[in-house]
Amino acid sequence: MSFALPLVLWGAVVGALAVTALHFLSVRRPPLLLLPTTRFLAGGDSRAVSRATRPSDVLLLLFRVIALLTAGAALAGPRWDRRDASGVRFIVADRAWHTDSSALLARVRTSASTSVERAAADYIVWSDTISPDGRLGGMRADLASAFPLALRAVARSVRGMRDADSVSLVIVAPPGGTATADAWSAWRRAWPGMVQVVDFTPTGSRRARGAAPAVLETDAIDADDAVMSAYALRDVHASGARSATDTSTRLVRMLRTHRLTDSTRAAGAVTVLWPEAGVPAGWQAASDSVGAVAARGVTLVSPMVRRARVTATVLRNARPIAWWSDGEVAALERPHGAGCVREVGIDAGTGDLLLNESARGLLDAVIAPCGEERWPVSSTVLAAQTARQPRATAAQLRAGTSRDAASHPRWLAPLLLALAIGLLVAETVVRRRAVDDDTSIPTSVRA
Amino acid sequence: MTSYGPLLDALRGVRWPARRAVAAALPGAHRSRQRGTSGEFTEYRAYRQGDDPKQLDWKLLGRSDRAFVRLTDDRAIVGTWLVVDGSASMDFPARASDGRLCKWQVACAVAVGLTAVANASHDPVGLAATSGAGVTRLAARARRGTIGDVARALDALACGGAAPLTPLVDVMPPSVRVVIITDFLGDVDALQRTVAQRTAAGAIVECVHVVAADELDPPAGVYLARDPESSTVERLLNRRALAAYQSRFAAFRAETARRVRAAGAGYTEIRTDAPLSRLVRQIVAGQGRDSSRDARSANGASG
Repeated sequence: MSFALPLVLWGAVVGALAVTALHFLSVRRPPLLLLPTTRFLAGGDSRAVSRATRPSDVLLLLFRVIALLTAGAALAGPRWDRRDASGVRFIVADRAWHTDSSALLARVRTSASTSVERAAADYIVWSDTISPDGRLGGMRADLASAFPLALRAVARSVRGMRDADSVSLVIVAPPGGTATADAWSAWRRAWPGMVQVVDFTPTGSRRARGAAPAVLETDAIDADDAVMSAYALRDVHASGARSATDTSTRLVRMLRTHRLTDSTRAAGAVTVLWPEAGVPAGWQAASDSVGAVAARGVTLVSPMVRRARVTATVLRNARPIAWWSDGEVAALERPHGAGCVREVGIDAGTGDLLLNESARGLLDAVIAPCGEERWPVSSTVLAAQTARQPRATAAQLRAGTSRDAASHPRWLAPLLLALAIGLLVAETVVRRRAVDDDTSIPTSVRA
Repeated sequence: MTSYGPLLDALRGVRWPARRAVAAALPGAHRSRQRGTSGEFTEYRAYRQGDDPKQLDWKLLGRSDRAFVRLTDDRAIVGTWLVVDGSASMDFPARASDGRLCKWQVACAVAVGLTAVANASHDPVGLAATSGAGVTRLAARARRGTIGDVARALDALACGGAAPLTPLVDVMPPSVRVVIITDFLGDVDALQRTVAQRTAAGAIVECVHVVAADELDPPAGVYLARDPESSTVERLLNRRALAAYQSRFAAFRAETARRVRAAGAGYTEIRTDAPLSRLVRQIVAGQGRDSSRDARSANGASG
């Protein structure tokens, strides 16, 4: 049995506990004292309240507790779950795989961990690849968009899920899909149960624009430039012959010697200002040492010389992307038109500082697409994070998406309510009989 | 019979003069309103036509050529009536409980002590007492055995009922001293009116208010208090109700004292936990609390 409004039932349970506690407070007549000056005492109830080790009037207590619980259950929208009730699975997938749905379902079913999930009825929710304004949309743009799609689908299907006892969510992640960390966290909290992320690579799929590889366009004079060498080691190469119509790659202009001007800025793309010598415009020259720099959750630990400090003016309208170990900003991003400009105050020097594996966070943050911080989805990591929670119960989703508190079957709530009323009537009769039988209490002091 | 020996020994030599001059009667110890027959000179008064020439001080007339009459005060006895309240409320606290005296026992002892003191002045002493068996009267006598008669009569009584004292006081002659020993928890309003009437008629009325220590400070704990004279009056006695109770009881005692004194009668409040001989001396000396102290204590308790 489940309840559409379990809070009402919990309220009834609290009420029943309170009633039980009251039965441990014994209202008794205290010992008699013949006092000639009784007339000078204030009038009122001549009974005293004291704690008892055993509940008084057990029969009345039973009537009251059962009546409260029954009434609470009736008002909480009880649903009698059938024995053959099963789970429902919502699968959110990219609409591009619509034609390959059988393979997608097979992939999801093979990834199911329990027999209950294998038997679950499947609802496939298709996510549009291209948004109405022509941009990349849906799960291709951000995997977190699967949550609102799933919640909307649950809200639409909630009446049809009356016999379901649990609901699970499977997000089919496209290869190279990314998610906005904040959006993912926020929407994840909205889904009450377990979420499973499954990677799926259909035949002939192409890499999405959002995850296009970066191509560096640099003005570095030195062929052994430390920054460019580091990127080359990470398979991000410079390309001086990239055509303007090439959509398979993403342009990142790396300014090592030139200052930022309209002619040096890459329109609609990422422009990185990482001077070989000196400091970025507006930064304050400095000369001290720090021990680490952190970006995208990866910390590069190494003795470094800090030659530039940000100022309040520089930080205005800018978003930090890397931090020194003492909390100061080491690199920032400033939006500009459709693109952005990144200023890096880290002296790369001529050594192998950036060749370290721990420098990947800094290097990726510097050439990442403009906008919020994103991190590539690792389906295994997400699955490990999300599989700790149990499956969402249907009641949880009904409570969150619908106010339909009707009982199922419909006669269940009226039956429980009638039972509660009957118990209350019986309680009244028993209570009056108990008071009439109590001859120790004079008529004048009976409540 | 209860042994009153120690009490009577402690009261030996105590005298109880009337608070004001008494009416003419047989010669006794109290100052009388009648003048002229005794040999104790008091004062001179100028001769007026009609005075008995035998009362003229002839020697003074011879020395000063002025006619004066010698005046002398008479002494007389005064009959003393003890009116003792034996209603159920006087049987508190219960008798023979840890050696403490109940109000009735204290009232009996005080009555016997006052009988002894009055009898020492050759005053006739009578007794009128209520009890569960009705009203008991003992005629006023001045003989030596009166103390024993009073003691035996009181010992034979048991507290009970709620008989009013007013009918007993109403029939008292106007030329006697009436001592009312009660807790004022019965017909208090009617009794105060009767006291005022008897005082106006010339009687000397002394009211002795018996208060139990347990009434002033009831036992701690939670009890269902019941009035022994009215089983329908039941109230809860606990720590919270105690302060209001004490305040109201103090106000009642103060108001009773004020009204009794305003009627011209004497008022003495005695506690059951005080020594009996001291209580009798307190009554004889008229050392009851004065009205101003009563009013102050009542205001303090109610505030």
